[in-house]
Amino acid sequence: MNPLPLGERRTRRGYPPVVMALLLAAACGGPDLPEPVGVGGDFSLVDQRGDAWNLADHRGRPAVLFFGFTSCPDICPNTLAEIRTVRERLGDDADAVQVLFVSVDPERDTPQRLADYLAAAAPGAVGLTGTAEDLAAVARMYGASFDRVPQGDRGDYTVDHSAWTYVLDRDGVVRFLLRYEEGPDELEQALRAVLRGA
Amino acid sequence: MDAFRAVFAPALLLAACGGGESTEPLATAAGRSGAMVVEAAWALPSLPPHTSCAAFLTLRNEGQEPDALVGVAVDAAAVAEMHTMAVGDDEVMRMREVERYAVPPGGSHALAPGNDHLMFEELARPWLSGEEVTLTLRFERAPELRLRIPVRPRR
Repeated sequence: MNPLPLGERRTRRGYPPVVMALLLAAACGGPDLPEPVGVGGDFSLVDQRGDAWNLADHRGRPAVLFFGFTSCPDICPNTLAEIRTVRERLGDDADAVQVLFVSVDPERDTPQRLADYLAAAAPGAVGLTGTAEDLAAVARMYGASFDRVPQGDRGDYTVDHSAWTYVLDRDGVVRFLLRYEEGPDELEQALRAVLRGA
Repeated sequence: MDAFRAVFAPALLLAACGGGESTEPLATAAGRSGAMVVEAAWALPSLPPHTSCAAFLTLRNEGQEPDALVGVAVDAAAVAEMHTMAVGDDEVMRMREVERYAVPPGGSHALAPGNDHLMFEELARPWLSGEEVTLTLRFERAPELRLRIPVRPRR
């Protein structure tokens, strides 16, 4: 279960958190960065080269993070395509942003498989995997969830998973939380804000 | 068979696979079988490890009787399924296999990115932008329809 009912945020506030954050930042004329979203934190997983990867080792670089899996037919490739679009818009600043793809399918998403997938879908992205327990712990920390769902009669399965996109500042703090329906424009604004932020 | 008629809109594609945003119209295919019209049909390119892929189309029933898509096959994969997909209010993406897409008389059912899709597994080969695959669509009432659809990036 999620410690935080992220899905209810919209109903309560009427706006997705990222829009609220941008509105507040604009209205107050204050610092660019909104208050921390309140989910997230440092974690340690395995990257697509099979090496240990710690978020804490990458201070100084903002990041965009989302949960997905390589057999995902639509949502995950689309999110990666949107991130790619935004990276093109950011031009020279793009390389300052880390793209973190956290697998929710440890059974199939080996480091090698993540490497092949990301080389085509999101060059430069960091693919992260681990044991089911490790990945569940990261998801829990980020208020996300995933669930392996048997499909059909061939022993196949799919993975239901949260479609949030997280934008982390240089200190690894989640500053923006974007819904799937929010597009490249919202992501670009959020990334520009964390790039500007101190 | 007279019910078989397929039109293929020529692809106006960038040569680059998965390239940047294009201002050219994106290729789709259309066809008709009896009262069932299939429009805006296209498939995504597959990504490594090339185990699964998705396609989209709109079903329109111009007849007086209910009909439904009840079976799908494709020449470039061993497995073809009909899926519903939605991102819920809790922001969780859920995908489920279904046995049919019902289309009432005068009605339509649209499959689109972020929504329902045809899902293919056990691909015979990578599906690459600029290529085509051939769908076979079985309806409850209308005769079977074969349709060549383009493989192309989503935008």
